[in-house]
This record gives sequence, structure tokens and C-alpha cells, in this order.
Amino acid sequence: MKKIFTTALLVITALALASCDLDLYPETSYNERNVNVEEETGNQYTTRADMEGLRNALYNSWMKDIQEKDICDWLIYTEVHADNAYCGSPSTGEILAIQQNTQDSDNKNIKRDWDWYLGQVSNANQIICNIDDIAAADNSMTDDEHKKWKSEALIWRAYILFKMSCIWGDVPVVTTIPPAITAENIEEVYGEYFPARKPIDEVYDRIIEDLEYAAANAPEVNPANKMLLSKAVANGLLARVYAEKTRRDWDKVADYCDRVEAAGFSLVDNYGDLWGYNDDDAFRNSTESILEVTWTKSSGNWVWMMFHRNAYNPNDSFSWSKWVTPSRDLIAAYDAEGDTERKNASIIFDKCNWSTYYPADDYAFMHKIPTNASSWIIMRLGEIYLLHAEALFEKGDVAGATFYVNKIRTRAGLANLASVTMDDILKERRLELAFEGFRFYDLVRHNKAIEVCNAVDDNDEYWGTREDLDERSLLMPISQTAIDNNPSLIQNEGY
Amino acid sequence: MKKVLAFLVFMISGITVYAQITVHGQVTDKDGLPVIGLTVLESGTRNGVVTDADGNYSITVRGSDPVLEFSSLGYETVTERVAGRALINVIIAESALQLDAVVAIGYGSVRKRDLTTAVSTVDTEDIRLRPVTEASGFIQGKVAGVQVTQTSGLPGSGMTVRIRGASSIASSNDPLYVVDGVPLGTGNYAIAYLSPNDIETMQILKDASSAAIYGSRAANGVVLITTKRGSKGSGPKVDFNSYVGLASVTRTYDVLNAAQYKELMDETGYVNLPDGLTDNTNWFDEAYRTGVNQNYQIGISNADDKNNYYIGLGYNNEEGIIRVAYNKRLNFKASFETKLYDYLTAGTNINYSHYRNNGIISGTGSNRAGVVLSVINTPTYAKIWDESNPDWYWTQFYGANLTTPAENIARTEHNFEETDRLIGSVYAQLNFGRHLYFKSTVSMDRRWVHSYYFLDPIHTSYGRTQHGEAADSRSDDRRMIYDNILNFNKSFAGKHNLEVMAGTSATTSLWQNLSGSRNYFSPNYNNVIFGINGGNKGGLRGQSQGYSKWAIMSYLGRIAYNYNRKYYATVNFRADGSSKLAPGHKWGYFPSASIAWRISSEPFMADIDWISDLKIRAGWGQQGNQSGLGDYAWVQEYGINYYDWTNPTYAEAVPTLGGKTNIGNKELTWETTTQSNVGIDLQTLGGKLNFTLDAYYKYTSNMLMNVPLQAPYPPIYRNEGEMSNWGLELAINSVNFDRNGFTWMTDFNISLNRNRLEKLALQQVYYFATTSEALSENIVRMVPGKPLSCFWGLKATGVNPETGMVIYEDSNKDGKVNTSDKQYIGDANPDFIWGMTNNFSYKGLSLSILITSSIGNDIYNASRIEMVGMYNGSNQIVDVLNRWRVPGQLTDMPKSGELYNLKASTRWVEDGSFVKIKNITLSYDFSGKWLKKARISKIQPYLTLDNMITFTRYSGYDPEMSQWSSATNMGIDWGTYPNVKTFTFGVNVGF
Repeated sequence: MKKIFTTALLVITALALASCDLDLYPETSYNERNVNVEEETGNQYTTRADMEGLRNALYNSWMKDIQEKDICDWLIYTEVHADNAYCGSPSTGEILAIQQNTQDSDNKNIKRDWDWYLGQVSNANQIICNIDDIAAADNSMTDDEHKKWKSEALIWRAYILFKMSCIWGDVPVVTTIPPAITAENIEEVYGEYFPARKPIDEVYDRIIEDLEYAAANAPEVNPANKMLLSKAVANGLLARVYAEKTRRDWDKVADYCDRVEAAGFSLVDNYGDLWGYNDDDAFRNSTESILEVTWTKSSGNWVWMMFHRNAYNPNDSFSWSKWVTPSRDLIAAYDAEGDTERKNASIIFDKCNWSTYYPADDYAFMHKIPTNASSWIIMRLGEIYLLHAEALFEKGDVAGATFYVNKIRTRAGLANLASVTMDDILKERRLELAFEGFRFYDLVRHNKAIEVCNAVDDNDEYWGTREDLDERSLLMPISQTAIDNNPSLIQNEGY
Repeated sequence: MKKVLAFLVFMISGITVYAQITVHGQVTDKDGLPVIGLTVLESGTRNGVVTDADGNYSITVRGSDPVLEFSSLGYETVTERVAGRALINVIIAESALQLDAVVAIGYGSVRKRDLTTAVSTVDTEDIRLRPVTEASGFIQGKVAGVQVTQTSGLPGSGMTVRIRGASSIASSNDPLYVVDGVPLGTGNYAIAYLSPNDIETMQILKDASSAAIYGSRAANGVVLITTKRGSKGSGPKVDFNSYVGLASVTRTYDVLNAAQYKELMDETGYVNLPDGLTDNTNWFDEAYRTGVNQNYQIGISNADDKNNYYIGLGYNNEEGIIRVAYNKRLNFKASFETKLYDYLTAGTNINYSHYRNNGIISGTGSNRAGVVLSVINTPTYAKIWDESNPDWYWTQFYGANLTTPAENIARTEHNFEETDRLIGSVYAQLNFGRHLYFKSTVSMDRRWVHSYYFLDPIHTSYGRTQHGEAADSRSDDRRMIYDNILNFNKSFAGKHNLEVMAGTSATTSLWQNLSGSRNYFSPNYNNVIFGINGGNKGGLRGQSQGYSKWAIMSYLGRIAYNYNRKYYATVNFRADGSSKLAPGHKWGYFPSASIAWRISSEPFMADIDWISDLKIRAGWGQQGNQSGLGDYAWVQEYGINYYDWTNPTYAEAVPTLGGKTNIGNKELTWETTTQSNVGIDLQTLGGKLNFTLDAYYKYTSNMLMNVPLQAPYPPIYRNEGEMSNWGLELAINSVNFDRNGFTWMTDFNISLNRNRLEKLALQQVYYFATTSEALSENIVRMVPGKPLSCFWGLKATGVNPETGMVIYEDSNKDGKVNTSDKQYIGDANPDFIWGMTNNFSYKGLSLSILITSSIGNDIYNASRIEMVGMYNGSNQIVDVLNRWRVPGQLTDMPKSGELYNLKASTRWVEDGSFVKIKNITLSYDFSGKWLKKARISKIQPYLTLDNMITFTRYSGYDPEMSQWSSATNMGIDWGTYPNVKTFTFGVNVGF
């Protein structure tokens, strides 16, 4: 009996004190246990290898992520909100609203764009804010790499901020990485995660400062790889920036256009070659391209399905009425000019199963992403020439402007013009750069947006009930969710 | 050392002199018939025997002044002081009340009369008479304060159980299920394996003082289930139970025929249809069928003085009303207990269940293959198979973005989840004398899940785009639970009853999985290879692996004291440490206390005859909730950047460190719910009319939430908010009639709960729940000061007869109708819920009617947007024939083809109040002498009607349905699998 009690009591004590290990860490992911993390900032990027990884991510994922936000949604703002295209499917409220100019702060696409652009700024900041310290501490990073990688990130950030300022006007400008949030500091630090909008002037200050550094330090142009944020890209963006109303300086525009032109680009012979493809692969890295996002046939883009077909797999995903449909006004503009080469490269007519805007056996589609291997050209020489023409015209040099416009017209197989007006230049930009993301903001900066957009639905019932544009609806609303969560954000007027 | 031990032994036994008497006698009822299987217990000890088949018992008592208790389920307890007698015969009276029933509470059990807390017992008598496949189904309508909703009719989906309102946002609001003392987790995931046939009793611990003993997992209440064991009183038993049921959809809709559809399309211009289309297919008939449910269960049990065992085996097959939905379950249970020595009892419980279920695409519109909505949206001219490609489902919709229900159903034809669940426990109980015992239990809860998905490359358009796909995932979830409990129970001087319990509990969990996928399948040979091996492309990185662990360590204790069963006090304490919390914050402490006073035992109450028992009780306690925590919730984690190795630049690439995927939180701690409860138990008229009334207040602090930060920063998981719930519950049981063999009993319960989000620290506004793709608006808005699941939108006040457009209220009077005019337009929480069960029996025939009801809850009928929206090429229901067409027309159906009319508004909010005659069961119990000759103790055939009659104004399939069961988005009908009405015939046979 006593032995039983002894052993029993010992067993009880032993079992009662036995416990399990409560210190467990993840074993299938990177976490603070297995990665070297800086205490103060909680920053996990501390070596050259980290920076190289981020630079790879810039080209490999950040730039390729533009498909939904910076191609699809951007084209709605520039082509559908203007006069180049109808929204492809009037059953989709978000894009119909922008076509009718009835967009409001609940618009899902506007919200996702806001979030994505801010996300890209933060991505770029991970490089920009860390690279100086790493260069000083880690000897394996060369000075060349330091300057180039920093410039590439600066160009990306400036590109994003510029896009944001076009859409919303005043936008937050975040140039630092906010301190790591911990439970202790969250109440103080929380505000830093919700920055207020800066006046558009300050936004431009930031863009210009970043691009000027990059113009001096970015990589040189590489003819074999145009998916590179090079000096020419920086110069081209500066030219675009100085053309906007906020900082208008036509001298600078002309100057930066010159610098881009001096970097060795040339127009391709046939307009259609820019988006060309053969049985094996699509064409990329043309001599005219200054910046493009490239894909391979095996690992291609998906954005082709938003516009027409994938020539390499024609029956895939061809069952719904697409994202944007070319407008009668644009087709009429091409026809009036006798411009078949550019019309055929931009618009394709095809048979389909729906007849929302055109008869089903002769439906119009946007044609500038014909395959899943096709590149998306962000900047090319043709656009720079026309921007140059704008600058020269505004400075009073009509002959110079005409010269550049004629370069473009000749390449498109059209007759030269004797002398150009601003309307001619704008028309040339429209036909040359259709569906490349320029139309609406071209009209805005020359104060023609209201007039042109309000006129386009007068004779074309396919636009539906379009609300008239006015000064306030040149900008998009800030999304309601962003405002609900960030009291320092003020909505744009009129929304 | 030995002297100390000896001293301890003496202390424990507590008596210096013992006398020993053997008492025997017979127990009979008021008709003189012997009572079999009645327990005779020496008070204050665990020394007890059971009466045999003639009602005789014999017990040896040792106490100095022993008292014998004679008790059994359904009888009033009689106590007799031995006072030296060797023969004590007892006449025992039946009681309609079950005050003496033994009720399981956490880590122990107590008689119902001694409860100081809010514990409700679920009547499990009718488990064998109703075709409910999941244990949670039985609770519906039977327990005050517990809201059980069948949110979807999908076989195997179980029900959503809410005990006293929702107290959590990020964590689950389901109660903890504990089966035979082993905590199994929350929600359907935990309990889907259990065949209801194996359930003996079910208790619901509702308030803090009862549930707090489960500490960190008990904030939503605990459902305690004990499964069947052999019983000496009943002798050897073989039970066979089976049923066959027919299930059908609760309602159908009339849709536009081909001519009316063409007229609508011509009006809106969405689709250009040719003339002469005919009505070819009734999609309701094609998609829905009568589902056949079958259930076969066998149970074998026996017990004698030393051993008892129970073996159960069963098979259940529930076919859905939509072809590809089903749930099949095979279950096996074996429990065995033996008394090796007087002081050592050991036993084992093994449960194995294998079940497989397959579902449909739901929660989305017909443009994304949602089955339920496509039944309405597919025009009648379409046929099942395509005319130009006979292997394809119909594709010609003239441009409308639709797929037929036949195709949408085929999309998930091979999309099943197969689970093998093995729960085994072994226990040993060491008795030290008659007052102290130590019980150690080791349990293993092992779950293997195999998820499989295959879509062939031909029949469906999605399959053609993907060129076929297959995915396969296997996971293994292994949990071990170690419980050690020391329990001391003694009665001093016959009046002071003390129970002390102390123990430890440790739980470890390891989950691993491996999954792979492929696409590009060959269409030749009729898709003979329908697994991963048939696919040529494996994705850039086609396999992935998961591995995670967690552990909880607990210390618990309870002291329960009562003075003469009149004054009660209980104190519980539990300390839990969890690996999911940050270092320094891993431990949480959950105390609770309760007191009770049996007023009816006081001398001043002795004259009041009509009150048989009156007890008031009050309790307070704290519980935690850890179900919302990820396994490594506080750790800062980073992403992994992978590279496309088909691109020559990255042929040699290796993964690099990515950005932060969360913001680590070193202060992460338990979500704590503090609850106070006051209750009254009143039994009157000799137990024929009983009331239980409870009032409670729950306050949850440190509520866990995922707080988003401004894009692009990842969210931070932190203890962010506070929520409160208060409510009232009333349960009434009555025996209305009991004469001449005819009895009528009623159980009624009614409860109300008011939920409110009290505080949020950082982000003050949250939006949830998007539905229709027409406008993709969030329809739920959560802010402090309002309850969860409140709908947010515009107020629609009618259709403008001039324009046919919906008129929305311009609530801020700024001349425009836009987002700033939105307001709260509905609340999914009911004003109150009630349930009533009426049982009628006459001789062997019995009829039981269960009514469940919820009053005051709103439903957002998002499915209706797809039925009457008229905003694309979909077919609509005949309600749209009333649409506005000419100026001046007065109607409530607006003009077609306008997205403006579909904004989130009161147009889609409906009153979801309902009264359901949820269950009607008619059974006849054949028993009697001629059956006994055939050695059959019972044959009981029965007929059950489930969910047949519903009184509601809701226009959808069923007012209980909700696409999401999370507390923040209740009450939204969005293409959800409909609930069914069932007609079942079954038979229970006992040998």
C-alpha cells in the first residue's frame, strides 16, 4: 500500500510539472528568427544581396504588375473618359461610371489604383532609403551599382507619382520608410502610415528632384533590353513633367526631348512593327522603344485577354465583350485623315458573339496587345517627337514643330503638312498614340478636355447618358475607404 | 518519509474509527414494480451499487453515520440514513424533472440540482428520430440563449452555433466542443466526424463560471458531449437504427420564357438575339433533384460490475439536391472500461470516422459559374449540350457572359475533401480511499485530409481555357492531449460537501501538408488519367509544403462547497500558456466564481407547497479566445521572392528575401471575455412546471483584429477592440397533461441578445461583404457604437413614374445622390429568438413538433440583384414583367438596363423574421411481451418531416441562409446553396 502511494505521489508530481515547449517559430518561411533583422527599424534589408534582390523584384514583379492598374485602369482614364473608346462592357459599373463621368468615391477601380500606386512608392523606398547605408557598410557594392540602382528606383517612384498627380492632383508624397510599428509605439507612429496629400507643386518638386539625379546616374540605354530604367527614360519623363500645366516650361521640354533624341533611338520603318509578331515570337526591344515591359512567350502577359485575342491561341477567352472598345469618333478620325496604316495597327475588326457596340460580324477591338508575348511600350521615340513638336510650337517655332510632326506622318505613310496648328499636333498625337495612355491628359494640359469630351456624344448614342465634364471632374475622387481610414485625407472638390 | 505518508493517508481518510455494515433491500416504484438499474450511493463517497433486475441491492457502507442516496434518471432522489439498519426498502416516485440527473461540467460532473451556473442540457431523446447528420443540428431551437442557424443546405456543412451573441471579429464565434473530456476544437471542423447516434448526453456551458474551466478557448461557450457506454442497468444491448430520407429544394422561381427574354434583351440591347428561339430546357428541373439520404447505425454494449464496453458502427450517405453535392460518412466507435482492482480503473475510447464531401460553386453570380444563380440566369432556349461541339456544354448565348447550370455543376464534379479522423484516448484512474482519485488521460486527435480537384479539358469552357487542371493536397494534423486531474470529494458531518479539483492539461499540435497541381491535360482517350499525372505543365513551382506547430499548457483547479445543498459557492481557476502569443505575454489567467442559494430549502419556504424548488444563482468569470490566432501570429514574417526560371536571365536564380508580409506584434495576447450571469431556477407544481431565467452581460476586451494600414504596408494583427453583449434567456418546461396514458409536454425557450461594438483603437471604420459584380459595393459597415452585421446603403423610396428610375433619398440634402447619402439600412441580428418543442404521447405512439423562430432579423438579398437587376444578358424571374416601360407608369419594378437602380440600398433589404415548423416526428414504439419472446426489446418505426413549413415574408429560398457564417457578415443571401425540406422514414430496433 505504502509503496503504491509513494510511487503514485511521485508520478503525480512528475506529471503535474511536465509541460510542453511554448517557444515555437515558423519553419517554412522567412521570419525574425531566421533572418538578420535590424533592431531599430525592423529593417530586413542590410546587404548588397538584398538590394540586388529588390532590384530584380523591380523588373520582375513591380513593373510586370502594371497590367491591371497601369494598363487596364489607366486606359479607362485616358481613352474611355475621353473620346477614343467606349467602356467594353456596360454591365460593369466601375468602368461604365468613368465613361459616363459619374464616378464616385466608391469606385472599386479607383480604390485599387490608389492602393497600388502607394504600394509601388513604398517598394521603391525600400531601395532608395536603404541603399546609401548599405553602400557605406557593405564593400561588395560598387559605386556604380549604388548610383545605378538608386536611380532606377528613383525613376520608378517618379513615374508613379507623376501618374498619381495626373489622376488625383494633390497626392501623398512618401519618401521615407515609416518606423517599425510595435505595440508600444503604434499610437504615435500610426499617423505616419497615413500621410496627408501634398499640394501638387510639392509633388512636382519631388518628381523633378528624383528625375534629375537619375538623369545623371541611371544606366545607359541598352539596345538589346529596353526594359531598363535608363537615363533616356529619366529625360523623357522630365520632358513630360515640364509640359504639364503645374510646372510648364517649354524650353525645358524641348531641351529634354533633345537629350532623349541624342541617345540613339530611331523610328521603326513600319508603324505596325512596333506591335508585330510572327509565328515564333512577338517583336520586342525595337529601336524606337525607350521603355517597355517585356514578356516571353512561355511566361507571357495576361492583359491581352482584356482587349482582343492571343494570336498564338486564338480561341482562348474570347467569350466576353472586353475592357475597351474603339469609338466611332476615333475610327472616323482615322478615316478622315486617310490613315490606314495606323488605323490597322490600332484597331482590328473581327467576328464575335456579341453586338454591344458594333454588329457581331464586324466588331472593333483594340489591337495593340495582339499576343501574350507582346511588350507594353511605356515610352517611345514617336511620342517624344510629338512632345517636342508641342514645345516648339508653344515657343513660337512653327517650322520646328512641323518638322517633327512630318517625321511621324511620313513614317505613317501620310503626306507632309505645310504648317501645323496646336489642333493638328493634338490630332497627330491622338492617331499616333491611340490606346497608349495619352489622350485625356493631352487634352487636359491644352484646356481642350471639356470641349472635346462633351461634344463626342452629341451624334453617337453608344456613349449613353454622358454627364458633362467640368473643371472638378478632370480629377478622379479619392476612394471613400481611404478617407474613412485616414482622416488627414481631404476629398477632391465636387465628390 | 513513511510516517509522513501514513499521516497523509489518515488525514485523507479522515476517520479514526470505522464501522462496517452491509445494507440490502428492494427498490420499487409507486405501482409496486421493481426499479431496475437504480443507483444506490453512500453519500459523500463514491461507494455505490446498482439495483438488479428485481430491484434488489446490497451495499457495504463504512462511514460513521452513513446516508444512502437512491437515485436514477426520471426518479426523485430518496435519501435514507442507515442508522444501523441492515434492511432498507424504498418506494421511489417518478419525477418529470431531472433534478437528479448527473450533468457533465468541465472536468467533472455534478447533479443538476447542485448547479450554480448556467448550464443547459440538450434533450437527446430524439437523436434517433431525426435525420440530422451533425451534432450541432440537435441544439437548434432547444436551448435558451443559443442561436443555431442552418446557413447553407450543403451536405456536411453543419450549422452555425452562437451562444449568447458574437463576441469576436477575427476569431471564431463557435463554441468549443469537448467530447468525452477531450477538447476537439471549434465549429464544424471539430465535430463533423461524430455520428449523432453515438451521443449520450449534450450539455451547453453558457456562462463564464461554467465554461471558464476551459480557459483560453471558452469565450464562446462550451458544448460538452458524452458518448454512449455500456450500462449495467440496461444489460446487454444491441441497437440498430436506420432511416431513409428524401430531400428537395424549398421553393422554385418562375423565369421568363424565351419570348419574354428576347423582349427584355431587345429593350436593353445587351444581347442581339435572333428570332424564333424556343423554350428548350427547364433549368430548375435540370439542376435540382430529390436527394436520398440513408443512415445505418449499429450499437452493441454491455456492462457488469467490472467492465463495460460499447461498440458502434455506422454509415451515413447524404445526397445533395444538386447532383455533385454529397456527404458520405463511415464511423466506428469502441469504448471499453474495466475495473482492474478496487483502486484502479482503466479504459479506452476510440473513434474513427471517414467522411467525404463534395460541394458546388456558390457565393458568386452566374458570370463566375455560381450554380444557384445560374439556374435562374440561364435562358430557357439553351440546351444542355452544345450544338456544334457535342462534347461541350452549351456555349451559344449571343454574347451574354453566362454558363449553364449543367456546366457550373460539372465544374466541381471532382472537387472533394476526404477526411480520416481518429480520436483515441486511454485513461487510468487511481482511487486513494473513497474520497480522492487521480485520473490521467492521454488522447490523440489525428486528422488526415485529402483534397482533390480535377477538371477535364473538354466539357466546360473554363476547363478548355485551362486545358484541364488537377490539384491534390494531403495534410496531416496531429494533436496530443495529456490531462491529469486530482479530485477530492468529501462530505463532512453530512452537511458540508466539499469538492476540490486540481490538474494540468497539455496540448500539442503538428500540422503538415503537401500539395501539387498541374494543367494541360490530353483530351484523348476520354480523360482516363484524371489525376496529376495526366497534366503536362506543373506551374513554375508546382508543389508546396506546409508545416506548423502550436502548443498550450494549462493548470486548472476548482473548489466547490455547499452547505446542506442550500448554500453553494464554487471557485474555478485556469492558467493557460500558448505558443501563439509573444514571449512575455504567453500566459493568461482565467478565474471565475459562482454562488447559489436554494431558497426553497429555507424553513420560511416550507409552507409554500406549489414551489418544489427555487434556487437563485450568480456568477462571474473570465474566458479567453485563441481561435483567431494564426500559429505564429506575433512573429514578424517576410515573403519569399521567386523567379521565373524559364527566362534565361533567371535560369540560375535562387529565392531572395521579400518584403514584410505582416507587422509582428510582441504585445499580442489573449482576447478576454468577462461575463456576469444572474439566474433563477424555479420548479413548481411538483415539477410539472419549471422556469429557468438568466440575465447576462459579456464584455470582450483585447479583441483580436487584423488592422490594415495604408497601402502598401502589410496589416498588423493586434488586440484592437472591445465588444459587449447583454441578454436575457427564459426556458419553460411543463408537463401539461399526464393521465390515462396520454401525456403532453412542452419545452419553450426565448432569448434576446444585444450586441454592440464598443471601441476600436486605430482604424475606426471597416467595410465587409461585396456581392454583385454589377457594382461591387461593400454592404456591411462596422463602426464602434453599432452591432456587427449592419447593412449600409442608400434609402430607396420608390420608382419615379416619369423616368422609371429608382428614387434614392438625398439624406444630406446636397442635391446629389452619392456615397455621402448612405446610411444604416438593416441589421442581421434578430430582436429575439424562440423555440418550442411539443411532445405528445399515448401509449406507444408519440408525436413531437419542434418550432424555431427568429424575429426582427434583416436579410440582404443580394441574390435578388441577379434575379431582377436586368443589367446584362442574364435571364430574370417573372417579376420583371412589371417593369416600367412608359412615362407615367406606376410600378415598383424600375426600368431595365440601368446600373443606377442596383445600388446598395433598401431595395435589397428584406425582413427575415420567420417561424418554422422545423420538425414533425411521429413514432410508434412496439414493445411488449410478444417482442420479448423474440428477444427484441423494441421496434420503433418513425416518420419525420423537416423544414417543411416556414412562415416568413422573405422572398428568397430560406430565411436562415447566409453565404458567410462569420459574425461580421451574417444575413447575406448571395448565391448560397439552398436549405432543403426532408421527408424521412426510419426504424430503430433494440435487442
